Amino acid sequence: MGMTKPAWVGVFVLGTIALFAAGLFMIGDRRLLFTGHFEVSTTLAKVTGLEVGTRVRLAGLDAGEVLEIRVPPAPSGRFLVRMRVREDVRPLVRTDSACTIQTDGLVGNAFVQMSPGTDAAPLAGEGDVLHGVDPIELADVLREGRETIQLINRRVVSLTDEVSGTLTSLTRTMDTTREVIATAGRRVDEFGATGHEVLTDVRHTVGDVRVLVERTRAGEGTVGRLLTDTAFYDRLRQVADDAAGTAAALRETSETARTAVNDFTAADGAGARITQTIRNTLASIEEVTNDLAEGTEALKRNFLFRGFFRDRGFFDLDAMSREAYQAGLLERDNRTAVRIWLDAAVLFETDPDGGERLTADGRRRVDQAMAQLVQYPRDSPLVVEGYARAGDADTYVLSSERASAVREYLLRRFRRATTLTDTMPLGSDAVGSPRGDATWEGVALAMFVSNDLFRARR
Amino acid sequence: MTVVVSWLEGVARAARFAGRVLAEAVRPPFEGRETLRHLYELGVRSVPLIAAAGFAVGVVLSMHTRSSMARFGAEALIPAGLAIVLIRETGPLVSGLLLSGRIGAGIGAELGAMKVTEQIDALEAVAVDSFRYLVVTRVVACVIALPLLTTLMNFTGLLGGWVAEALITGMPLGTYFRQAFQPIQFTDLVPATLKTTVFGFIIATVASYLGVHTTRGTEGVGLASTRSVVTSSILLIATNVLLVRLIQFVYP
Repeated sequence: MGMTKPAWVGVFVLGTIALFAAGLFMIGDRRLLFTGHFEVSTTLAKVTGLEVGTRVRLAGLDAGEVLEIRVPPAPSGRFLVRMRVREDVRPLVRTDSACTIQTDGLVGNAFVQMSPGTDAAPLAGEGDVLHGVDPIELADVLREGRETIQLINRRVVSLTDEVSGTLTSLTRTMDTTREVIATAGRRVDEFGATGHEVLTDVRHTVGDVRVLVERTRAGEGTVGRLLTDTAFYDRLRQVADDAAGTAAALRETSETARTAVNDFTAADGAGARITQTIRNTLASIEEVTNDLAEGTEALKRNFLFRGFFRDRGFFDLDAMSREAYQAGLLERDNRTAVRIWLDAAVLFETDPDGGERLTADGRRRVDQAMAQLVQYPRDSPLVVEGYARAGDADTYVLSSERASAVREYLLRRFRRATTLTDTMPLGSDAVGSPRGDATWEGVALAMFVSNDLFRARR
Repeated sequence: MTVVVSWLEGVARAARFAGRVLAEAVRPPFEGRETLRHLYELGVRSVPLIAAAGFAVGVVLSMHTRSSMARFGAEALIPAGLAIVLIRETGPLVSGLLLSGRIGAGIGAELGAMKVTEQIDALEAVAVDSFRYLVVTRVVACVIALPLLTTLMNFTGLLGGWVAEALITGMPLGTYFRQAFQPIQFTDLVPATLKTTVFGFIIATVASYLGVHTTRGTEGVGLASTRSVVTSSILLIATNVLLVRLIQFVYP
């Protein structure tokens, strides 16, 4: 059968129109135009990525689409999202079903996630408004994560304080217990000696009595007759036995107490085990904190989040050379350094073992310096710069130790965030020091604040 | 100055020509047989070209989309991404440009040859309305053929995308098409397909105008053929920009 030209034209026109119609049908089918459906709504504070035609999923099942997004009349209002839902999923849509916005993966399309309601709740009717759960955005998650990490840091610090307090009390209690037991041992020994003396006296008395008895038995005096009754002698014997028994019991008690104390204080005793358990717990806490810190560090270096962290003032001096720091790398993002110089002569005293430690005057001086810096926001980065005299072999080490000592104090006393408080040992190289010869001994507190704020506060 | 004036005169003549085509097209008699013949020549015989090109475009787009999407771990979006690109823009534009080459050159050369061999004058001599018989029928056939061929290109393009996808992931055809049509709305498919009627009108009108105004013998025939391809392609691309803006305005 030969096909004529008009027949081919017919095939061409009908075939392509059929394809077009199939396309229309697929779109219509997806929009539930050819299946039963009903409408429900929900209200949301923000409609991140939502638009008309966005898919609605019910427990992961493709269940409909968004028909309309109605803008609220006032900023305090919520968007009304009208949705068309397949009729066959109606048994799962209850009046207590909730809707939220989710995305497919990291870059996927947004969709409305509808949760099935409970069996007890009635079926949702046509046009019902379901409860809307506002979507959580990445920035919110990061902010909460940061707050959680800060909270954990604070808790760990307070926990460490508590544990070390407990340890101190425990040590003190153990010392007291040891003392009490030693005293008790001495008393028991003394009491044992006294008991022995009593026993000797009794023995002498018994000897005397025996002489008397013998004499009495020999028929000396009238008392002899009275004492021929042996009951009195038996009673005396009983008294002596009781005294000896008491002394032995006391000795045994003393021995038991001594063994208990030895067990408690032995290398593998209960005391050592408790101390070890506390030590292990502290090590675990430290490990978790380190993991968290590493996680945050990794996040900070990730190109996606780097900007986020930089905007919020996170900085990392470990990744910064001394030269870059002195060249003002931290002052680049519209920040100015507010610097307060603190002299080592006031701050530190020399330890018996040759090191330096913060004195009471030094702590007061640091408190005064911080009082000048509290006018700036707490989230401003604070760098403790350490300086030491030139020429010493350990100039750099000393400057580092001084900076670290002051940082430790700041973290403890002012509860500064560890991520925003760091040290920078600068040896003897003190550019801009009050001495005028670019040398300094001690530390400088450098707080990096925004230029606008700096000008405003001046 | 003279060049500009004569060019503007040419534009005015072409516009008048286009207006006459529109007016004549809706007035009977419709020359159905001749229109059907052109529909065969311009439409049916373009099917292999459009089908092959669409298939190849689908395969290539799918492969490119895959490498980009894989970076984000979003391979699941490949069918939908390809469908949006193909249906909204690539399908209509590529079929328009391909047909401006095939049909535009054909009409320009055919009418040009008829003009220089005085066949058009001969038709007029036997009282046949040459404009209606030669030009209007071609334009109508082209206006009908373009949306149909665009639909074919969209379909073969998606088919090519599926073949490329199935070779890698073994995805079934039904799943692929369901995923592809996931984000597509009526407002994506219908206006984009119907705008190709304008492309068809431009291609056939420009080629016919240049064909019936051919001068300088056989050399002029070649010139008319080349100019119809170039002019209709440029006009088509420029018109496409306006049409897309218009569609976005009507269906935001």
